[in-house]
Amino acid sequence: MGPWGQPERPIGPDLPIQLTHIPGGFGQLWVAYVTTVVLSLLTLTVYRFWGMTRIRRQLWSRVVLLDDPFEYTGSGWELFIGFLKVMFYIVLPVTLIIAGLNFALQSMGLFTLEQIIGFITAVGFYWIVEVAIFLRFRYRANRTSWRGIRARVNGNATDFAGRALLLAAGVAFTGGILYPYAHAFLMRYKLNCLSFGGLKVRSSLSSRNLYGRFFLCSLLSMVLGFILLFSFVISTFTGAISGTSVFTPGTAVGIDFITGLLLAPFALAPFAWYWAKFYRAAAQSVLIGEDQIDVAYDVTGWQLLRYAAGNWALIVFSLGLLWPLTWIRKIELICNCFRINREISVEALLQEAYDPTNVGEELGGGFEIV
Amino acid sequence: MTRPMSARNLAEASKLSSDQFDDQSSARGASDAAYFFDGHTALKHPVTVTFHTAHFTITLLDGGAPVECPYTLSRRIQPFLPAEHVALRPNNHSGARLVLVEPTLIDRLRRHAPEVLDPPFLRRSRLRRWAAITGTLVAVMAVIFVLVPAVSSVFGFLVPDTTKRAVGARTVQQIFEPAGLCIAEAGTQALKGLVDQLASTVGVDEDIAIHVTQFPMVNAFALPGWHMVLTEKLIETAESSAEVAGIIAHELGHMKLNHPTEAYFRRGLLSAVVDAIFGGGLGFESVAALVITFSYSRDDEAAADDIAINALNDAGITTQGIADFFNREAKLPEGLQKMMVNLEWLSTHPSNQGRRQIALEQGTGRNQALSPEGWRALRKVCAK
Repeated sequence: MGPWGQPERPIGPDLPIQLTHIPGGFGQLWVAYVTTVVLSLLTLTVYRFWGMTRIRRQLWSRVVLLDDPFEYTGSGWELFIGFLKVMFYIVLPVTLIIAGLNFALQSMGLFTLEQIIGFITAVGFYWIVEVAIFLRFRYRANRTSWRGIRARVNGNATDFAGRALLLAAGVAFTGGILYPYAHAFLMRYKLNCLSFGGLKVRSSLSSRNLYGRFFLCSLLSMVLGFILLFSFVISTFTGAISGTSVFTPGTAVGIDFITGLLLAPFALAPFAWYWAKFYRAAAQSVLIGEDQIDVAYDVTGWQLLRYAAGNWALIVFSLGLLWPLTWIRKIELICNCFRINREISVEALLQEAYDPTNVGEELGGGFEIV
Repeated sequence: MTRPMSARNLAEASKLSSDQFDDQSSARGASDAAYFFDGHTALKHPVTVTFHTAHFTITLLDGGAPVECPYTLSRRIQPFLPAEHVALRPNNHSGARLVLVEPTLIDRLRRHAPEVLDPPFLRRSRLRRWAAITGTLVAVMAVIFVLVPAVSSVFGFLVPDTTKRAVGARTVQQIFEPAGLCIAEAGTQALKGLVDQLASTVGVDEDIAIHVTQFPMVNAFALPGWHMVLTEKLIETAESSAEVAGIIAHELGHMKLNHPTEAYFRRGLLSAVVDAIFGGGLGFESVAALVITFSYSRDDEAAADDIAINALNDAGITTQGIADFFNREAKLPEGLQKMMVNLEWLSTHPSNQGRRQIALEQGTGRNQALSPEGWRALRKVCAK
């Protein structure tokens, strides 16, 4: 029987299988969000671990697959302990060593070495952030369960971070040309580490079909960026928005400047079509389990653009008060676009081993909930 | 035969004696009343549930041994949708899940084990959570206000003088030189003479490197390694040589107390602590660092003021100059002044009116710091 009393739907005939999002619940989510923000401010942000957990539990519980909701099984305590580990084992020692080295080099007048240390520090922090990205992915997957069966990420965070670092260097040296390759490589790496209930995910994602779209979007983005920059300069000097220009003595041009800054991200708008193609290709490249279940993520550039612009407007015009709506919109987008094209044998969904790793969330997660 | 709810810690349930069985509470035969996931596969099992005094039993309608679950080892999953249903899980990492659909079953559970629906562990967990948060805050405060200053003092004391001098010289080179350094000979000589005179009265037996920079602000800085920097605008706005002398004596006070080197370490350590606590990404770091830095350099400022007034008294220089400086600094709009008095705890310096009062009350000298010629030369120190 299904949880709403209806007979359990046979999985086979009603293909494709789609994720559904239970509507509503914004009030509860908003209360959880505001409570988290207020208590985080009052507790020097220490409350954030419990607040984020509370929010995630609400969000996860509204996503339904085959009549049963997903469950977030992480806890605030785990995140708190992970935070303490990272603080004492990584952040404090690394910062003290770097500060000490810099002080020693300054005192010895070895200023060239100081710059080298600065470079090594920047590279080291990039590597740590990539490690954190992988660990975060691993933690969230392992704390996500459906019908009690959890996902799992195997693979090595340091190996992932090392490759990400090399690829970032490659992207920098090639002036961005390597970006689609790096993007596809890292996504493929993560997908190939993922399994759900014993069903291993296999991805053969290639960047070959992404390059045309990437170059076109880059070109359009540059043109749009130039137009925005030009309009911004003209507006700042003529006061097209505020009505006052820099040539009017004693007037401020703040509104024009701020408007320019807020509109700057729109130069990246053409990349919505690149990302849409990337997500579609990533989903198409995936086969799950022995039965080679294939999935689709039918997102379009317009959908992604509407999603990003809508989130931008919600955050900017509500001064952050409607931030929780952006999480709901993300989940809705995923539910609307994601499809499983072949039947799943629920008997084959076997439990994954519990992964006790609990670090990574605090090294660059910020308020990224979903 | 019974089997545990898939977790090892549920195994003890099978040892429960039959006298705990409460047959009145059993709900049988309703295959849509509840369903169960055993935690091994994603198969959904229709079940019946019978409630006993200390545990409940899950009987799978599609076969298999019954599962016994003590209430004490069961947790409610919250939130769970639809909200009218109740989902339970063991209190470990097992994936076993029981979902009660039928309201009568939920009522029976409430009668037998209300603590499962409103679990005391959640209340305990909240207490534990707030204890941890409070403990963390106390620890952080102790680190910021006790450990960091103490460690900075020790580091500041241990650093060799040559290292401090190199760091000071480097800071001047990196920050103040690009804005332009003033080197007019007569002004530099007058300034150096004044600094040396005050250094001996303060009790600093070191060769002070004094710099005047065209950095666009009214300020003075004491750097590690006996480097002192005055800004051109500070000298321009000063109304007397006694005023400049008061500021120099104040900076010498910082140097005598080793504040510049301590501040160097304090900033580094605080930055590490703040980065670690605030985790990045939320944008609180800079505000927090500012507040923390503010609130505990006030003691340093007061100590440097004490030394400065004594030094001016020993040199016979009037404290009227430094009092005038504080007075001018205090001349803010009335509303802002009131706010500054209210926010004194937040400021790096004690209130300017208070400092002016102390300077006037404790000052005994009557002379200017420089001759009229010396003062004229100092005011032209940046002239090309």
